[in-house]
Amino acid sequence: MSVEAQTSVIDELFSLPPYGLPEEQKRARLMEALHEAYRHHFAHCPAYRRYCERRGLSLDHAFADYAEFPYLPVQAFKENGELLASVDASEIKTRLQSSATSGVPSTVLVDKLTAKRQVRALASVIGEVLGQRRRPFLVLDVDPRQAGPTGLGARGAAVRGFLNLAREARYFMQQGAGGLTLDEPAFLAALEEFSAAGEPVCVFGFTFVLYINAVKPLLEQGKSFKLPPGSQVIHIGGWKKLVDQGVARDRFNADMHQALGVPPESVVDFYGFTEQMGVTYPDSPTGLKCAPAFAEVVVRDPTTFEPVPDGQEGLLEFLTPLPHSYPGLAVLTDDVGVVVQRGTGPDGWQGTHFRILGRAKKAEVRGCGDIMSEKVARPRAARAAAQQSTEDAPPSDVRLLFDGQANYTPRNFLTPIDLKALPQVEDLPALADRLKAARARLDYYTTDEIIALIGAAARRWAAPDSPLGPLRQQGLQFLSSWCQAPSMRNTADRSLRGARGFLDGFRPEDGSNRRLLMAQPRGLVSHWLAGNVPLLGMLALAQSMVTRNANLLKAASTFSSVLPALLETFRGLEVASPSGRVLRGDDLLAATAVIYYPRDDYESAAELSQLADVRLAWGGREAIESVLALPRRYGSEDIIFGPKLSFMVIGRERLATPRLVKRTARGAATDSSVFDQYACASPHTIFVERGGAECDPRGFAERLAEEMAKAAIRIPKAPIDSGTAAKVESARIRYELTGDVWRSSGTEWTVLYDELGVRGLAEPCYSRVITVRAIDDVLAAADFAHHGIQTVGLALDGPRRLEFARRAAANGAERFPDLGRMTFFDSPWDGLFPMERFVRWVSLGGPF
Amino acid sequence: MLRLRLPLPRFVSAGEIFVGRGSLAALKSLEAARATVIISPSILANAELTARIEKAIGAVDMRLVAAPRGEPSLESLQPVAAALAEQRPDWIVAIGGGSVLDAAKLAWVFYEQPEAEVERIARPFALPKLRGKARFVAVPTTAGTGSEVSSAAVFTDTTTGRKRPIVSHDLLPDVAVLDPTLTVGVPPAAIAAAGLDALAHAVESYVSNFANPLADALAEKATEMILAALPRTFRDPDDLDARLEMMEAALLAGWVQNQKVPGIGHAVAHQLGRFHVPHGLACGALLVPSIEVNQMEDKARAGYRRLAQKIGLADERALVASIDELRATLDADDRLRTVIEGGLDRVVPERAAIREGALEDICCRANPRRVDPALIDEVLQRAL
Repeated sequence: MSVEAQTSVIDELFSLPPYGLPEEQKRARLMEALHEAYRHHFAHCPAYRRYCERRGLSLDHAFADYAEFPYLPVQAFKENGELLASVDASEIKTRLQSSATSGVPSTVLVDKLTAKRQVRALASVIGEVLGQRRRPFLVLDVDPRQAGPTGLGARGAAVRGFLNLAREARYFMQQGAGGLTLDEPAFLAALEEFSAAGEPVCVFGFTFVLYINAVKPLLEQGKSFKLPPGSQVIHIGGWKKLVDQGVARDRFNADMHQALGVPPESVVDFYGFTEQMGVTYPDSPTGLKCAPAFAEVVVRDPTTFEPVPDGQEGLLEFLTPLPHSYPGLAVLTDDVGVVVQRGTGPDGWQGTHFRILGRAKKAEVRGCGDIMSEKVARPRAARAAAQQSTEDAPPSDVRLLFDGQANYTPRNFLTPIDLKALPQVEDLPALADRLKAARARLDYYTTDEIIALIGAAARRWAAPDSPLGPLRQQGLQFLSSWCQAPSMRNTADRSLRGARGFLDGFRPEDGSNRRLLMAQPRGLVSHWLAGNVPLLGMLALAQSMVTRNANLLKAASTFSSVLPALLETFRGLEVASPSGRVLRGDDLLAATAVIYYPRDDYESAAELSQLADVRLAWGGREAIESVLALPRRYGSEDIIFGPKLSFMVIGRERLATPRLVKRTARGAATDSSVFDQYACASPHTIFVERGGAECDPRGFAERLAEEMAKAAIRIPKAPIDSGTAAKVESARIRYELTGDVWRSSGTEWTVLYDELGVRGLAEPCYSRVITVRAIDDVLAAADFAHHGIQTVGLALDGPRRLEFARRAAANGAERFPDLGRMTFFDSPWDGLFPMERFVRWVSLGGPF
Repeated sequence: MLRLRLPLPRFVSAGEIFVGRGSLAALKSLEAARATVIISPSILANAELTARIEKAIGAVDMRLVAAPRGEPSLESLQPVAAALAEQRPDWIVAIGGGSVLDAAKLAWVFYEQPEAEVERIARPFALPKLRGKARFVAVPTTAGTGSEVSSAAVFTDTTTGRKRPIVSHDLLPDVAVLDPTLTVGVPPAAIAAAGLDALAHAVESYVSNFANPLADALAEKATEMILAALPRTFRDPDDLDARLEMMEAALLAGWVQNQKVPGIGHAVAHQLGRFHVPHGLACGALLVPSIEVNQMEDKARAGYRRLAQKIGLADERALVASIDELRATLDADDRLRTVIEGGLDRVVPERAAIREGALEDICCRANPRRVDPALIDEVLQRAL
């Protein structure tokens, strides 16, 4: 079939009344058009063809249902927009870019035919809602003609599409260095002018801009207008940013009514997205959305991505044959919705009626490094946002989870905590004083006696009958072994100038007793725990205990009962030492307490910070910056384990024999699976050098996939939320467009492969999604290290191993462990010896 | 120290060794903040000697602590361990005979590793590293055990009566001081027992399965020196030259045993603790019987012959004769039978335990002839 014929089948759809086609007729015509579009993109877009072929589809495949068409997630347009072209580059007229509220913008390549269809589709739908009568538009946006050479991207295209029905358009926003500003005098003058004129007008703008920059200031100034009857407010762009600020639809509509005199039924929200620009979904008279003749909606389960029955919520997928220049015929969005009705609705519109319920739950932010790719919220802004959250508890509400007296959290640490049932800490400084006073009990013990106590408790954690058993796969075994006395002694010796004996009193420095040194406990260590790796906090706490500090720990909102469960093991624990002394776990507990307060409780956070002689914080960038912004005592020490990323490199020498390949793949799989890849030290990209005698980089990816499958049995994966599942699925689809994918049948693990080693690190996806990238010279990967990189797992031998580490360290990387050991906690960590920071060094005698 | 998995000959020793009259003064340079001096009760009772020691050791805070009497056990170590936990020293100085040195080494282990379980650390080289808390000085006051250059510390397991070693090169002292002026007052019987222990170290180890040519040269020298000097010190304990010579010989023999490991004589001697037989006495009594059973095999016989010829004797028979003669000189001939009242009849009921213990002893692995229960019985029979 010729291109002309294809376009005619598709283009006919846009000449039909958008909401007037009986369901069966629409289905027949739309399915035919979608097939035509599919064939066109299959034939003309190599990436799309590759993607389809990987799914067993051919050019002439016959799809029985809308849901059978292969879909692309919106994220595919973020990374691979330039690859998604179904026409020759010379035909591309415009590159639409989304506003990138969620980070990376989408890119959509638009040719003349697509642009023409966009205009027709928009006009058809808008005309249905607004009527065909042209009227004045008051546009709360920048005049596209003044927007500069780069234009306004997708936003400008949308504005232009809507203005096809404008008799005249006036613009009231200006683009300045500080962002958009309202030309308020001009806007007020226009409102007055049109209120008086009696001709209905249309106020048009992006939902957020319209409200925040125009209507809210009007109301704050006590100004209101009454636009003539028949006037409308049309807004596009989505609710996300407004909802973040606590403004929902009802309040929005009510405020529009109050400020402009436009009744709620005349305030029309148009839904749409860049990847299918031109197709828009206005509120029907019943307030529902309705798919027009040239589009359809499918709802998919957010975890399995299978279509769900009508009435069930899920991710919204939209199909339309509109895009000609890029394969956007079926796009899975991040939005959640539900199909309410099919056929003719109570509004008289024909088509599938659906409701949008909001954005899909984002992938749960658990990894330290996850925050790296996010926009950094300033602490004050984060605080302000947190204070507006109605879910958080009121300020200054500190609860006690654990202290020397009792563990107040549920015995089963997986049970959610009812915070209100926990004892309230009325006086945080008094609690700190109590801990510091109890700290003196530790002076009775030698360092090694404290180490022996911790070791005895640690053996109980990992015992076969331990109630902590469910944490075995989350690092419990490692924690237990790390806290054993020999390991703790080594850590202490390494951290404290070669001899932990400095903790037990003055001793000679460099062999001379004319100058003595001693390591003095700093006093109170305040810990801010992170929720990504539940046991992490204990690694630092154990070191703080060995250095005889008192400890006050602020639990994370997740896994908050885990640390109390670990500490509970010390209660009543008695160890007889060879000296005849009895070492008591209760003495350690007396100087330790775990508290919780809501994240918007700035007052308590500031108090905890000011009480601290050492502030120790684990977490993502936002959490860390929040702690750093708190007031602190002069001279207090900070230990910050902030957001970091890690990767792995494999030299050709480790791919020389089948045995080496297997061992290397096994180690890589372990590192990529432990903690479900949420640790700072977990790799997300593996650079594999070409030239291995036994296998090439792609072959290694294949072997890695086999080992990932085995690791999934050895290290069972924790359940994931729907946002994470969507992210995993999206990453897989992106690589189906451009590279190779090996995957479990569910979302347990994924190996992605491409030849883009020169492009550097792949975007982390977490949840056991590992990207293998081929590289000619593995040493070049050292240049991908920077100050945000913590760990580089090394599978290199000889001088190249030293050279790589030297280069990568110069660029900012801090650890170069062996494969299979990347996530083992170590000293130094993040470039520092924590134990060394828990003490003050005191000198006696000299100096010389 | 390198961590080797290969059984290559190596030579390990104390870090620094000071030898000679008045060499105790070397400890003035110790530069300790807190030193615990674990000392034999007999020396502690000697005010003059104690004062000399206090003066000689450079420490800001020094405390003298009595070592347990006799060979140490975990129970008898407790007061020493308590003293260490209280003072928290950065140097531990052990002054006394082999038992005192071993007791101090064990107290050091439990000071640094109070959680240590005996069953774990008694496995060869299983002891985690030492010195994060303290360093160690060994000052022997007898010439024989070689503990000052030994990687082992032996204690008595009071539940079984067996002697058990903890072996780790970490137990090698940082400093050893061989000062003959500290050996004053050691009774002749003790001089004899210690000297025969040293002789057994040299002779038994010389034919060990663990080859070490460097140590062989030292064994030849040690044997020659002991055969000459031991009768002199036995006869005249105030002969400081002879005492120094014996200390040096015992040091050489200690080096040899630490690199090469003695044989069946020591393996059986370790089992006789249950009869309260002093270690040196048992080793002396078992040395000739062990040579006799081993030389039935050609390789061992050639070894004894080579040793004999290196020190100017005709052959292995002459070597045995020299040792017998020495023992007679030292009045050591019948001592074992005297200590174990009832002799062999007394030992027979315990023979199974002795066999079992000896076969587990690393010394049996070093013995040039394969050790089985019958060989152990034969050695015992010849000795008693």
